[in-house]
Amino acid sequence: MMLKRTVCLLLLLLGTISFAYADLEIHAEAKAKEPDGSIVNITITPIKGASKYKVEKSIAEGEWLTVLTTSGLSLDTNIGNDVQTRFRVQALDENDLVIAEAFSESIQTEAMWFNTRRLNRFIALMLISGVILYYISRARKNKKIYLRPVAGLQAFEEAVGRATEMGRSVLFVPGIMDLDQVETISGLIILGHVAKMTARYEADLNVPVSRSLVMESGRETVQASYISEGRPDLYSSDMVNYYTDDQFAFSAAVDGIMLREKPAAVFLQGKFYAESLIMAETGNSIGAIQIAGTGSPSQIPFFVTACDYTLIGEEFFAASAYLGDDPKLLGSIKGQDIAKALLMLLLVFGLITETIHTGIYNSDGFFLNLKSSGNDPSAVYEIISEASDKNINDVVAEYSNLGKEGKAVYIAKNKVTKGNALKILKKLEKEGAEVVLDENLDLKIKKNKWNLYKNLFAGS
Amino acid sequence: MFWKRTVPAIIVAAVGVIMLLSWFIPHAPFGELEIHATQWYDIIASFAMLLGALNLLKLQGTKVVKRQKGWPFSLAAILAFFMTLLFGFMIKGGYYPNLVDLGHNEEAVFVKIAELTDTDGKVTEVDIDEVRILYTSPSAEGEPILLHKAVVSKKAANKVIDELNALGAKVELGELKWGAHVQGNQTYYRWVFYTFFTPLSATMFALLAFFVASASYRAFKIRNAEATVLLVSGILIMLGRVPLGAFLTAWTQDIPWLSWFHLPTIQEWLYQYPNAAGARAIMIGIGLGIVGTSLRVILGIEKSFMGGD
Repeated sequence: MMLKRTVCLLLLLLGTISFAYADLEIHAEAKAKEPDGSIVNITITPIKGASKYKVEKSIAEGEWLTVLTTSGLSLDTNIGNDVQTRFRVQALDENDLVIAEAFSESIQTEAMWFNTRRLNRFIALMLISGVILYYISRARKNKKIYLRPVAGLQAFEEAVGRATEMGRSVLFVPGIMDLDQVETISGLIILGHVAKMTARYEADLNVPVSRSLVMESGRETVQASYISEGRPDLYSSDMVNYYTDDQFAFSAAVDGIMLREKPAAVFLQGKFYAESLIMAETGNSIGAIQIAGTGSPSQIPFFVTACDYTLIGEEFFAASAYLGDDPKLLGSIKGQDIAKALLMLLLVFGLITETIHTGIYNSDGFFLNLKSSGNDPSAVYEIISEASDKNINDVVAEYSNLGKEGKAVYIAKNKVTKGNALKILKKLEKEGAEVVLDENLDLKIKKNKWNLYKNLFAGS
Repeated sequence: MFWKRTVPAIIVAAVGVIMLLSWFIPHAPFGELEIHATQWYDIIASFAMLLGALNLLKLQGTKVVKRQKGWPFSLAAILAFFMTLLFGFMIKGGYYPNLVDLGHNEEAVFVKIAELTDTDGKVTEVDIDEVRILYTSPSAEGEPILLHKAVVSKKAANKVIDELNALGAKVELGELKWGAHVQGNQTYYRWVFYTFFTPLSATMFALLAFFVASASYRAFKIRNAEATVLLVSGILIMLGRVPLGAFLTAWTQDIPWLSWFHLPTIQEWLYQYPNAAGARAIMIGIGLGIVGTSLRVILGIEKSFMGGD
């Protein structure tokens, strides 16, 4: 009798345990359309009695690394690409005791061979490069290319000539950054042309730099220019000198040179930050003719204010072609201009379509307000999950308690037109949900701009 | 010519194309190329630093030897160079007394530590209480005592250790490791950095305020129509950004058709629309310029930065 009872009890216990363990599941799936791969979405099927779940991933045979201990049922995590990885979930009760355990199937992620999220930029790059290459090839065939004159570039020769006449030096600063910045390379290219001029006019050239690599490259450039002008005797490696990597220490050094040597022409061509105005104003105070050029948009106003001429934006990058006589370079500038014209057309097109889209039809910025999920919420949750691009478990957690006001369903699209909002509304209504179409705040602001300003200033 | 011009041009073209492609191909081995390339660049730049340092010494040394104009500044630069080098590689400081055991005379030790670590020259009961909380039960590795000194040399630390040991405490000599001393407390390197370099840098940066004022004065002088527009826009932006602007035009809010003339609204509009349009036009130009320059460099059309024609 006793034995029978014990066996029954044991069977009952085993049954209970197996029942508890049978329900817990973990499913791992590589996140779709992830360019770098490595992201895995994990979903856990919950069991009764569990207060939280400890998720671990395999890092070697029999070794597990804790990913997260959470009460949520869905999470994204990273794994190494091209490595078979398994996940383990342990259900923990309120006392942090393991009450169940489950393993996922092996999973492996892989990075894309082409980043589809950058497709538009790839197409733009190909188009722009194509246009530039076409005009380079046209220039090679000796087709005459006209470029509008740029006052700043025409003043280069005048500035060097002035320095020669006054018997003073020419100061050239190729920015404060290293050779990994395209502005520095552009500055060095311009330095080559200025060095040719100083070689021709036999003017002194002084090039303070703030990076050792730029110093080496600058010396090569200046030397080649002096050789090409047939004046290697005038070249000295002391023309290009390194001072310091530090931004303000370098600007102090340049200011010191300006005040001591009083150069007649100052060229500030390269990448600059806050020191731009410190240098330009000092140059202005000594009465030097100053020509600046930079690709740093925030420094352009300072240069415009303090310098005699400023190469703005693409003018700075085009300087080499203007100053040189290589038709291939001129061709590339022409290509750039054509690409710019195409972009301008595209901007006008975008302006018109955007105005029609939002200004006239007010067709952007709608969302749905879910008041009730009806009798069959699961179908409603699936529609919301699909429309808002959210995980089904998150949707269930978010919309299971709607409250009196209801809850917003944001549709996962860049532009949410009234038409596609209505389509989803109909789908939801078909499943018995009570949904209302609403407009977001941005749209309301657009519509009630005057009233809104009035209310804002009235403090309401 | 082949090694000096052609080979570098081929390397530039190959690396340029590969790096460009790697931006669109996240798959190995392309995906990690950017990180590797950056590391290679850092290594090469580190070697080039030596060239820069030697050039600096040659340039400033020549000025001192030839007694050229402003040679004392060059001497200061050379001395600062060697002093920083010395504190970076040879003399580090950063020693500290490490309290292992308080001994039998705890209160006297607490008072002594409070005196040694005090920052305002007046030891109060509050200071001693703080020390008591910190040092009552030193851990097995000991508790470092941070003396109120900019730099703690071995000699200074040993002197304090002797004083504390005389009171019955067990105090050992602790020191910051080489490498950690660059950022650690009470080292000579840190002292040089924060006592000389940082204030000098801040001084240069502060000059910017005066330069902005003088540049603005020139820019806002009415010479032509453009300068007038600049002046008016500048005044509207400046006034609109401060409470005075909102206060001066608050009355417009009571008249619906005038409400737009509230200065904060005008400055926001100027900033968000005409200014943004101009800035974006420049940005598009810069973007195209970068693409064009990069293409010219990759294709080998532009070689003058490598010393070519």
